Amino acid sequence: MSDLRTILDRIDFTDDALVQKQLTDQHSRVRDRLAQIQNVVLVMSGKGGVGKSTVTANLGLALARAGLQVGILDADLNGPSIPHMLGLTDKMWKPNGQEVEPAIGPAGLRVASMGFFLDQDQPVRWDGPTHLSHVWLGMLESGTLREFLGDVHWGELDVLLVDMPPGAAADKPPAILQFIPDAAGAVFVTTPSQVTVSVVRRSVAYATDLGLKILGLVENFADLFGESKADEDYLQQIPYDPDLARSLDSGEPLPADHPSAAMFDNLATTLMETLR
Amino acid sequence: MKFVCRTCERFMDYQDIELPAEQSLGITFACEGCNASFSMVTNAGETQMVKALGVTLGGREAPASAFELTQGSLKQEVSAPANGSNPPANAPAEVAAAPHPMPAQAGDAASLAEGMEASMGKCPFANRMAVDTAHQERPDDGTVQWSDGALRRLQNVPGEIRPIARQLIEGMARDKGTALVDDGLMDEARDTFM
Repeated sequence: MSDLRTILDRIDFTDDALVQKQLTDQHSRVRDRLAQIQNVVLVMSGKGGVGKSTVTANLGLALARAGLQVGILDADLNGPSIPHMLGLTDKMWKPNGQEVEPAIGPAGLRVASMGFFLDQDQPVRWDGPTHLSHVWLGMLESGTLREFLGDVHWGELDVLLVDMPPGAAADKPPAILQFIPDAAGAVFVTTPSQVTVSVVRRSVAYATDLGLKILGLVENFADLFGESKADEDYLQQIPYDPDLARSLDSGEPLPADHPSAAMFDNLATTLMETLR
Repeated sequence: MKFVCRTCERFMDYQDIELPAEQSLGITFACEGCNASFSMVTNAGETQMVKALGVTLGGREAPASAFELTQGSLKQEVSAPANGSNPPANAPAEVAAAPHPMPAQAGDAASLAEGMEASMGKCPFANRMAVDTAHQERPDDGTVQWSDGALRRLQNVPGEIRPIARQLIEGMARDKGTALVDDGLMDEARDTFM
């Protein structure tokens, strides 16, 4: 009996699938898209509920007020909240063709979110064997993040903010960073709670392991225990402000002259100085 | 994926497809030269892993469309009744339970055979999936209808094999002389195929 290589030579074997080429094409599409973006900044935290999306949305608005072209990628696939905060609540995406236009939010923010595929209150339901989700779910979510980066017509941006999902570790940061090796860095959101600080420190250490530049920390709910006190060198401290909370719930950004908006303007200035 | 008969040094041909177990696909191939045959049995995990890569089995002829993977992987919500709107919560039961027309599969045997013939020397599994995709895109001629309950149960079948399951179940319906797939028929299908 002949060896398999000899047999395949005889019967004209060809690689129809070209899987390697398909994977390369996927990455090329992301690379070409990101070539038009000056800075990709991840907004993350090890802890949930600390205000990552609040900071992302308002930082984006502040950067746009400063005259920059800004995009926001809501990478929290299972809990997208950026559209609601920016008043973009419609299920609006039925992509057709090779790219999709981002939603245009207040101040011209270009926004992409899983929320645009979903009805209100509808969770993400992937079509696959749920009892084997540990085998395929991470790979699928990674592919979805790739499509958010590569298939959205972001255009030329000064800054793309990526609102990361909660959780410090193993899956999403590497999943994003494999497509954005040149990310400018990460802004971490924390609170005065020592529980939060402890988890955020782990997250910072993990991001450092991944080679991600730590751009700085933002302390949200800075007056949680009364008077704010700066134990760390924060990029910005943001006390709780009911007006800010109401603006996010209603999807109507704070006016530019509001004191909380001014704090985000200050954060935007500091961030851009850090990026230079 | 291709299969080669080492004895006859030729590609093996597609023969048959079955659903041997839940979330599993069985495809039988045979060698025309020596009549040897075997069945490839997939498990749901490995098929889903390939799908999650976002690559097209058998090769891609056109660039990927935007959010092809994401859109193709989101579970389809149970479709609304034919008028395109959900029945109101207080709708009479018979209205809420109105059967939904599904694409009929009459004549599928010929197109399947045609598809399999085209797979000679190509990846038969990929071709099988391509044929199924073509079936999904067929216009609705309304000859076989599905009850709400049956439709919900069909949605529980993994996407990769759902078109095949639908085809087999609608074939059962036609064999039994009924144009409606309901829970009773779904029970029979489960007993027959699982």
